[in-house]
Amino acid sequence: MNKYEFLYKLNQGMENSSAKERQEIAKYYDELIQDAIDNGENEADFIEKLGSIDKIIRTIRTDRDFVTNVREKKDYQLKNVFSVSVKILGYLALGIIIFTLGTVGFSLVTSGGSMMIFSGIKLYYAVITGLSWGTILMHAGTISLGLGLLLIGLWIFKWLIRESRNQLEKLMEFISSKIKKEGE
Amino acid sequence: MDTQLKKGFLELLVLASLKVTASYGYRIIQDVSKVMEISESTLYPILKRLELQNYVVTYTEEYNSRLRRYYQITTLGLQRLKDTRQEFDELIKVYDYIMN
Repeated sequence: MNKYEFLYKLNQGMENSSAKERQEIAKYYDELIQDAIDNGENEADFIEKLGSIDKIIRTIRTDRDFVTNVREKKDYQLKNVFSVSVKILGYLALGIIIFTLGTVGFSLVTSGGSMMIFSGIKLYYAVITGLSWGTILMHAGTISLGLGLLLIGLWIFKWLIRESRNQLEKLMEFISSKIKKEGE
Repeated sequence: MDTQLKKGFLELLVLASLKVTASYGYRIIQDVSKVMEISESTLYPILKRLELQNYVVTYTEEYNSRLRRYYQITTLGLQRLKDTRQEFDELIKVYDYIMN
């Protein structure tokens, strides 16, 4: 049997395989036989040495399960990497949110607090010096506004502490599970 | 030798044959068969396995106005070879236990 007959028969025997696989195997054997010929081996003898085409196909088929397993494992690893990067991005976004809300909370508390203090002082003077009711009412209004802002700020802080602690615990769990997995 | 055991060894032998320089199918068979018998039809699945596990990468180069596929070991493949040392130590323990 010459190379072309061999490749033709091999291709015929692999009817159930994908075109890509058939092409790849044909290339492998084509190259192998050509290399043997270039190395001074007799074409027919070398092909004889390759064994029966049925056996060649059987060997490839037996190994297909392994190929599928490795592919699945790769997909799994890929999914894992993907979920890790999504988690990292999630924590980054959470960090930004916490920082922004913290800044807003801080400015609300300080501005609300200072509004209350200064308007309180102004109100005190207004009452003592006997200023108009309008002025007194305005200062009293500013104090309530300050109190409102202060309360909103404090509420944001409370929420932030509770949430960030929860998220931090989740993050620690996630990191420790990763470390454990690496160690296995 | 047991087929599965031989398959495992052949994978390592093929990988080891690529340690110094990239090689191609026919030459790999010649190199490996100096140590252990390997048939041409067995090599193909082994190379495929090694490639799938990222132990080798392939590239084609022109030779005698035709294309030849070369297999090159990766860092992961080199690491795999290093890891066999530990495996062999364990294997020796098993061997000693069986023999004594």
